[in-house]
Amino acid sequence: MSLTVHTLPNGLRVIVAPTATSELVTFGALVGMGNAHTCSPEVDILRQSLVDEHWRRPEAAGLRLSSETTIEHTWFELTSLRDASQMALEVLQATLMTPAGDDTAQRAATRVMRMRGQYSDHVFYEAVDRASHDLFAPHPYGTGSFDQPEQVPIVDGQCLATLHARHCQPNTTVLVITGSITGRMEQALQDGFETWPNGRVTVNIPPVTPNMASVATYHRPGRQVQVAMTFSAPSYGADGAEATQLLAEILGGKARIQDGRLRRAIRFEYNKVYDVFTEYMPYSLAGSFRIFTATTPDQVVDVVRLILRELRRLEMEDIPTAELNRVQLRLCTSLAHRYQISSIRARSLTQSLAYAGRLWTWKEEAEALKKVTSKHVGDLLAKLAPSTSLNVTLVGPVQAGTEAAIKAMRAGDVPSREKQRE
Amino acid sequence: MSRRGWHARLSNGLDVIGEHLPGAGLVALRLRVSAGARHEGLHEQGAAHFLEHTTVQASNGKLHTAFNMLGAELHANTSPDETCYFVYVLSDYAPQALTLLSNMLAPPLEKTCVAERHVILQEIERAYDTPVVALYKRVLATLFPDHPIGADVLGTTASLAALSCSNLMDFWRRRYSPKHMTLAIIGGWSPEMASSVTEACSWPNSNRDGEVKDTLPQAQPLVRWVHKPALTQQYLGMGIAGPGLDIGLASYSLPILATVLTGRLNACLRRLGVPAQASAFYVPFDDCGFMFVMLVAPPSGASVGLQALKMVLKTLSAGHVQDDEWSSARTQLAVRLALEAESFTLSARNLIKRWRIARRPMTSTEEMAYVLALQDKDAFEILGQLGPTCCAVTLGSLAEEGLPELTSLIEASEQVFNSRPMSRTANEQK
Repeated sequence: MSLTVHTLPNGLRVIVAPTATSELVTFGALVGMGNAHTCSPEVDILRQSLVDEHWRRPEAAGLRLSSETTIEHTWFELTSLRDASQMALEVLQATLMTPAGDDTAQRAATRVMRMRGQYSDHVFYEAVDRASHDLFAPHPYGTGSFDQPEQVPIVDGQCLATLHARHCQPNTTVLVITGSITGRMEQALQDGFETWPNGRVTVNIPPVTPNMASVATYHRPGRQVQVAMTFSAPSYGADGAEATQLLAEILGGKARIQDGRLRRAIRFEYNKVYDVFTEYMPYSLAGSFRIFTATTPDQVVDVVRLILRELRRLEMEDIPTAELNRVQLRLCTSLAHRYQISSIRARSLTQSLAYAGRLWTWKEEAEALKKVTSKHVGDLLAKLAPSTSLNVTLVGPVQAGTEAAIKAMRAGDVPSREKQRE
Repeated sequence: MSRRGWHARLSNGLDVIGEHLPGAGLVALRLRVSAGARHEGLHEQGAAHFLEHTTVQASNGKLHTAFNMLGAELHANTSPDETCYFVYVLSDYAPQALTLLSNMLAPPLEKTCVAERHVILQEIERAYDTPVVALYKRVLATLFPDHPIGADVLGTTASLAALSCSNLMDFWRRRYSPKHMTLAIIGGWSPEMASSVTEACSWPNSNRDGEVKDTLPQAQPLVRWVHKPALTQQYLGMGIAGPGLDIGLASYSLPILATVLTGRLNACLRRLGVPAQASAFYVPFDDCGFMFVMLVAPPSGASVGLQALKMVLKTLSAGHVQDDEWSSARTQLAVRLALEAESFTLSARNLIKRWRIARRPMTSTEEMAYVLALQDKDAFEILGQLGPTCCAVTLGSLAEEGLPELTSLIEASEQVFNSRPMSRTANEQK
């Protein structure tokens, strides 16, 4: 099935991605408004107000709806059975084009603050936030949900309309429609959004210089300490992005590859943790490589030591071709699976158009991954030097002396392969 | 692409069910073993989950490398009534993946038992630190206190310390037998696949005596406060006992009812001005289940939140389900099922679930058509099978004196379910 992109006169980009198998139609909108663009939690409140205002209407009742605000964008997704696609389209139009009124504004603000409270009750989410902060602060990429004002911000309809005009515009938005699409549906989508006035805005994020080699502790009660380790990685679509994706997978990946190096070392060899995983998060100006695990307070130093040992080993030794091939095949299989799913396909397509300026099909992604060699990963590791540059974030009942022990361990870091060659 | 279902029972008793998607490039395999917490005997708490770990790690990681060579990744999970192993691969590698899955089912080794015990202890600690998981486990334990189905599937520090490798071996012999297993295969496999199934899955039946007698769990009303002062929100969980998958296709009304309940509760909370979030979902086992209702609110709003829950339960159990709320909840379930049908992993999971419900290889297309035909009178029928036993648990900074309404919620709910005008034929027949 063909994949097409149209740009409407108002600057709105529309991706049409039909699939023969689906009983469904999914509409997605990636709006270039994220927590990095404004003072947190403003964007979250704007998103929540749009959802509260338009998704509670009776005609939205049979749709599957989801929305999320991330660092650089906000995502709205509406899925319906084929017959109800017109209804989904109308709800999406209202969501993007009409800011919420006074009645909704304050309720949305209260709701966002409650949700942030719930988020902060979860130790893992606190670790995610703190780790981003430790890597990027004071840059907006390091803005988290923590250390927020305790009071709910006062918000009214006017305030939301201003925010909406500043961030939610056709030229900052990419629309996608996937699933069982007819020509009529495609036309209705174009007709519906052509009337969205063109209020062109420019979104700027200041240049970023990631932090390096920090060790930070955030105390909170609990049974385990969440260990988050981060280092700077390539931005979206930059040189080395595919090699970074493979590196994440070699270490374990987000899918918790049992054969991943960290899992083998920490879990299978020493039985110190239940779970350890890695992920590569690219943004438009920088990227973040993250390693997450959790263990009881008495084992934190050992776990950090084992992770560092594995990173150093990677920096010093070439990755065997068999291992690389295995990881490449697994990633490509996973891509083939993920792209069957409307929601994931919709999101990937809009992100590639918004950040890389072109559409990447899963086959192109797979081809790019297959081209990565052991040397590419080695060069990347030499450049990033994760064992020396990584930041360590500890959240939980951290024992006295843990932070000092980790700092002492870091002081004895051996140089990377590149440095040794020099 | 039309989906076609099939079923075969091998000579050793293994049920193999499949859904063929011509032209699909992937195949998902899922092996369900009827081995969960409910099958554990005295002094065996945590054995089913422990076995999941030892089975997956039996070859000291080599198994994972072998799966990875096929581009696959093996995953597993254990619940109160089953242990599942699942994997997806490109179609060309499906026969090899099936052989690996089959070879994996070896008895536990002493060395693996020792190693995995430490890992599971870490898993237990992690669950304790996650409020929503902790709440769910407490509700299950509170609702079914005298039955292994209510026990923590992970076990406890003490029960794991007491579990020996020979205990695990015993459990393995009892439950890891083809007659307790179902294999689901979904996707676009090659014609050679059928013979691979027979070849790979010809495990002998162990048929060992000494099966633990599996009784029907009896739910009991209880209220429990768990004081966790560090939490910023109050987490309220309610369990309402109900039927299991053995009621057949009627069980599809249960998740629809959960969606109606969620919608109604959130609308009520909004009307009352409480900044709380409610969600409900139905958890079905083979012969029983429960509606899990969760409410998360700031401590100052918890009391009003409970009042809202009381009011909504009252209206719902009086049988007042409107046509439009039923139809939109029904459509939401159909959309969810269609979305899950796009994922091979979830498709394989749902294929087994449909087999357990309908006892025939029902395709996802048939399932969706069935769901969309459910009428609001079906809601009335299914409501009659919920309750009257309920339990409530709260987690957060409020202690018992801070939230006395919890006891009255249970009393009121039981009264509501007891006084409703509906028939309770299915439960009475049991």
